Amino acid sequence: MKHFVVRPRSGMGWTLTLMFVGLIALGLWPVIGWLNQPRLWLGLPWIAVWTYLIVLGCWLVMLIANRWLKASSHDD
Amino acid sequence: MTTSLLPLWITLGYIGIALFIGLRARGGRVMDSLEEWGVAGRSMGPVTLYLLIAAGSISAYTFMGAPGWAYSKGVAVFYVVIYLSYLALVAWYCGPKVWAFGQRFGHVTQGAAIADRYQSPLLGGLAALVMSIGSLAYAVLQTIGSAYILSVMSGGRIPVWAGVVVILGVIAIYLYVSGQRAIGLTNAFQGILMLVVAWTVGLWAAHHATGELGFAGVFDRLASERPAFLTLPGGDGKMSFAFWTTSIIVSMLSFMPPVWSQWMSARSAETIRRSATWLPTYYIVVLPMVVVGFIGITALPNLDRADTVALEYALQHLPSWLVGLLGAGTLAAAMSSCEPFLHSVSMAYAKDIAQPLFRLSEATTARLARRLLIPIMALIVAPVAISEPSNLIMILLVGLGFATQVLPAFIGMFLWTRASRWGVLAGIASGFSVTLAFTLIWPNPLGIHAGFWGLMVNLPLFVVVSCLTPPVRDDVVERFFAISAPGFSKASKSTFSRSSSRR
Repeated sequence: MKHFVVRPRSGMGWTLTLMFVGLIALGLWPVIGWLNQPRLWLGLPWIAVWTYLIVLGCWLVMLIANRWLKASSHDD
Repeated sequence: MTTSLLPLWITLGYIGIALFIGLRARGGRVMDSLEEWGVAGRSMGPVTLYLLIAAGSISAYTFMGAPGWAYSKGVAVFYVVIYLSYLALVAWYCGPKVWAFGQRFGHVTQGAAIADRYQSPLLGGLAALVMSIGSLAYAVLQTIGSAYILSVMSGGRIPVWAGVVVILGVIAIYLYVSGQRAIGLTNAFQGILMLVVAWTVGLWAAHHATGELGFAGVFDRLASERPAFLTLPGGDGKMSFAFWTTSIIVSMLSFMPPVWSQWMSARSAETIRRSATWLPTYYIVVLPMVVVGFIGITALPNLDRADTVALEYALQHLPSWLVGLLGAGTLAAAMSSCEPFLHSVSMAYAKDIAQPLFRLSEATTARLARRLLIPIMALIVAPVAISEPSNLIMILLVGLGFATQVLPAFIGMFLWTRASRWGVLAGIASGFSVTLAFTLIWPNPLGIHAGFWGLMVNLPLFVVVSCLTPPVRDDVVERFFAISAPGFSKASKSTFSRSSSRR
């Protein structure tokens, strides 16, 4: 058997992978360091707002991914 | 302590409803197989699965520990919400594959999947055994939390030992009768209850503290009086960027056994994707409880134990009925994350250890898994919970640290065909040793999470040893990767057949 490492096989797959990785990077250093200010936005600390933007981002990216998967399975 | 009996009645009322729902969940089905008792006949729909996973991931920590972190550290507590959202991404990617493994190959436990992929019952049993240490420590902590809540709600009339017996007794009855279906339906109820309780308590407390309906007043005051709580490293100066980052990475890569069973209980792969997609939305449950912790920074400045801040604030400033609801919500959080761990340990001991060891039939294994619940609770969880050992948190940290070190086993299922049995064993053993040393002897060197240090040794060793030792049989790898990477698997096969025919 020819062994392999699984990686995306289409443009859509690569886009999704990059979106997942990008979302994860948004919650880690150094990004979190740029938001580390004792300031408020909408009455909440910046880090709290950023946290819930990441939550929203995860939800949206998975919604998009579901749509793409559905569309690609119809194409098949 | 409260003197009114209303909070106790509300809390006991919650326990009665949970017991009723858990018993009704069986619905006349025969629970004589692990397919039914263990993974609910792989029948759960998206809404139940959403609440099952969501409530399972929200433990007593959300109602006690998270406000405590906000009280002692500040915004550092939000790392929990971030890693829980990333766990949803992991569930979206891996969950459907795990479900397909279970459906096609008949796995009902994580250990069974590992044993099958690496053709090693020893590896499956070992993983199950060591995973059970963290799982049991987790279940014990939730039981202690539950008993503590009952004691506070009863004004000290129910001692901790009696609370432990009541909570474990209730869980044992409905878990034995209805198995994973009881976990699904009780978690659905507990999940909705937690959401309602957290927001009611959070908004009421904020209004009481600031006179406003939102949370802005709480943070305005902190920004002017205690700004250190609004940034990292936090009020106590301990949450560095390195610890924040590595804690999130280590936590999102922990594949705990109950989550595996939850994925396998889904009706279809599509059901898991839909549940995982909506999962992050549930984590708004954390925000209001954290706000109560922030209120406590100025309202209760001299608390001995930070994790009692929400309860103390409620007892001093909120009406009795809301204290009772907080008790019920906290108990729901503790029970909803305790019961999946007890269930998965029972299954793991029966399926991954006893069955291969004593060559038991499927029917005997299923009976054993159900019956093991009772000795696990009576001989391990209850005595440890009643004795409240001081080093339990340490056992839990080591146990959870191990959960991350099993990562190579999963890389070999989802991402890399060449992963070998010896590579996985070497990775796990080295990673676990490093995590153990950096938890007990030299905690988190350079402010980096011990589990992350473990992974830095574990993963390179796993790759090197895998490349140097024989791979798992081709037919086994092919059937796993026909699910994990269908396109790749076909391409690899055709490449292989072409090169074979040329020879």
